[in-house]
Amino acid sequence: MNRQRIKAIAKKEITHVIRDPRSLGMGLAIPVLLLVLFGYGLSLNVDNVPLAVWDQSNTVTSRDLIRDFTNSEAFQAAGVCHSQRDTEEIIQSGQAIAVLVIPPDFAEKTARQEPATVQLLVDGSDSNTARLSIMYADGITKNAAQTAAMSIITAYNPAMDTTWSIIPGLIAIILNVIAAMLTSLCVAREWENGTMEQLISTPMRKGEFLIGKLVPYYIIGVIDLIIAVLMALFLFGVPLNGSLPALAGVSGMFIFTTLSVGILISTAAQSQLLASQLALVITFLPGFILSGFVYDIKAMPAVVIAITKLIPATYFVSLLRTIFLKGTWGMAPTKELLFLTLFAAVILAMTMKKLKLNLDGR
Amino acid sequence: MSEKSVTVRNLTMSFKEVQAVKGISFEVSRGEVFGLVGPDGAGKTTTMRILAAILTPDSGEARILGFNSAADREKIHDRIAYMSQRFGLYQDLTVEENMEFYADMYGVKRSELKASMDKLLDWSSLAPFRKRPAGKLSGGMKQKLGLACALIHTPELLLLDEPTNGVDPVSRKEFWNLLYKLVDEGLTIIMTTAYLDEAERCHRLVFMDKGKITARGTPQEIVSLIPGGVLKFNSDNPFEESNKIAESTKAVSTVFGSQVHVMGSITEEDIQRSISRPLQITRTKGSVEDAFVYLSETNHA
Repeated sequence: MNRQRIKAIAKKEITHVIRDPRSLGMGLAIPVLLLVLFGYGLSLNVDNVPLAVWDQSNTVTSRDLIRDFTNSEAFQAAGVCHSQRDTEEIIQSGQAIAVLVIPPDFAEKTARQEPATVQLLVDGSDSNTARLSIMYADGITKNAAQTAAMSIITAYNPAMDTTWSIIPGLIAIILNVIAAMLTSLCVAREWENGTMEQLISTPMRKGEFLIGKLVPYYIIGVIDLIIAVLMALFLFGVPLNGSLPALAGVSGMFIFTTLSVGILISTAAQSQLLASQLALVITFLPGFILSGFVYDIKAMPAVVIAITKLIPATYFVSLLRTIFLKGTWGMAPTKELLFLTLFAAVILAMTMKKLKLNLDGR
Repeated sequence: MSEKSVTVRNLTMSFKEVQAVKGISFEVSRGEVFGLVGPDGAGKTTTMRILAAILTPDSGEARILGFNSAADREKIHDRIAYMSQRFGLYQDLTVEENMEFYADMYGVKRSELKASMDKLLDWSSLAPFRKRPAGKLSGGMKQKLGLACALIHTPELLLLDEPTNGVDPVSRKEFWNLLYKLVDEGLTIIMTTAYLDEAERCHRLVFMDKGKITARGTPQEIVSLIPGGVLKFNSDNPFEESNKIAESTKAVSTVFGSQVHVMGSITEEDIQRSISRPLQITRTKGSVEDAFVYLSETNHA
C-alpha cells in the first residue's frame, strides 16, 4: 500500500466531484430536497377516520371510551350500529372505515380491573389507513385502560406523529441512495473515458485504487449525514433520545456498507448508465419498499420478510428509529451492527475479486 | 541486463472468434525508435497492450526490460510509460494537476516533482497553459500533455499507441522532434502508427497486417523489398488508369495524388501498352509507403 497513490486518487476524485455540478448537486442538494419533500409530503398521519360504534355495554364507562375516540383528532363519529349486519353494511358502503365494538361486559370487567377487550373492525382496502387506525385505536384504548388503573406502558412516539418515524428512516434511504449512486459511477467512469487503460499501466495496486476511490465518497456521506441529522432535529423537531456517539457509529458503518455496494456495482457494470440504473434498482427500491421505512415488515409475507433481512437498509432504519425515538441501546443493535460489518466485508471481498487491473477478458 | 529492451516470441492473442495477433516475434534494442506500422485492425494496439503488461497473451512471451509481461506486471509498470490511444488525461483536471497525479501514481518524490514538472512543461511548451483544464487543450497539446505525464517518472521504455492519430502535421513534426530528443537521452521508444510517413522516421520497424508481421527492418531495408523500384507517371484520371494497369497486368498499382505508382515485375513498355496515351514514366527507389502498399497487396493475393 502506497499512501502517495491513495492520496493522489482520493484528491483527483474529490476534484471530479467538486468540478462537476451534477455530482455535487446529487451529493449535497438532493439529500436536502428529499428530506424536505418526504418530511412534509410523505407524512403518513391520518386524521378524522370515520368511525362507527356498536356499543353493546351502553354504560358510563363505554361512553367514556367512545368519547376518547371521537374527541381524538384521528377519529370522527360516523354512525351507530345495532347488529353484526349493521357493522358490515356501514363499512361496505364506505360510510365508516372503522367500527368500534364494545362488548356487553365491558363496564363490569373494567370495574373488576380485569383486562377488557374491545373490537375494532377496519376496512382493510386501504392498508395504510387501516394500519394507522389500529395504531391510533391501540393508543387510545391503552390510555383508557390507564384510567382503569391498569399497568401503564409508555409507548415510544406517543404523539403518534409519523414524521418522527419517517425522518430517521428517510436518513437511511438518503445515505443509501447518495452513497451508492455516486460511487457506482466512479469506476465505470474511468473505463468509459479511457483513463482506466492508462491507470492500469501505472504501478497502482487494487487496494490503493479502492481506498482512494472510497475515501472521498465517505466524506460526502458523512456530510450528508450531518445535514440530515441537523434537519431532523431542528427542522422537523424529531427528538434524539439516544446517544450521539451511537448514532455516529451506526451511521458510519452503514455509509461504509452502502459505499461498498456502490463500488461493487461500478466495478461490475463498466458503463455509467448501467451502473447508475443498477444502483437505483439494487439500493433505492429495496431500501424504500423493503426496509420497513414505509411499509411495516411484520405485515409482509414470510418470503419477503426473509429478503428484507438481507438488506442493509432494513437494519439501519430500525437502528436509527431505535436511537432517535427509543433511545435504548440493548443487545439487538450489536447484532445489527455485526450484520452491517459482515455485509461490507463480503461485498468488498467480491469487489476485490471482480476488480481487474488489466484488460484480460474485455 | 540484456541489451535488448524488448524481446517478443511467437505472441498470439484472440478475442472471441477474431485472432488479433498470430504468432509474431521481434526484438527492440536499447535506444531505438521502433515502429509497429500497419492499417487499422492489424493487431498493433493489442500487441502494444501486451507490451504494456495490461493484457495477457494467449501464448508466446513478451520480455520487457528483462521481465515477463504476464508474470512481472508490477515490475514492468514501475519502469515503463505507456500512452494509450486516448492519452488517459482527466479532462476536468488542469495540465499541472494531470502531471501531478501521474507523478504521484509513479511515486515521484514531492521534492523532485517541481523541477521535473517545470522541465517537462518547458520542453513541451505547455508552460503557459499550466492552469488550463486538459479538456480545453487542442489535439496537439493534449498529445504533448499525455507525453509529459508519461515521462514525469523518467521511464526506461516509452510505449506510444498511435500518438499522432488525429493530430495536425505541424504538431506531429514538433512531437517527433520531442521524441528524438528523448532518444538522445537514452530512452527506448516503441510506437504504433498508421501514418506511413512516420514509419520512415523510425530507426527500425515491422509491418503488421491482419495479425502478422509482413516485413521488418530499417526504412531503407523495407523500401528495398519492392523489386525493381517504383514506376511513376502523372495522370488526369489517376484512379481509372491505375485500375486499368492492375486489371491488365499482375503489377500493383496505386494512386498518390495525381500520380500513379506501379510496382512489381513490370516494365515501362507494359504500362504504356495498357494506357493508350503517351506517358512520361520515371523509375525511383520508392518510399516506405510504396513498400507498404506493395506488401499488403501482394500479401492478400
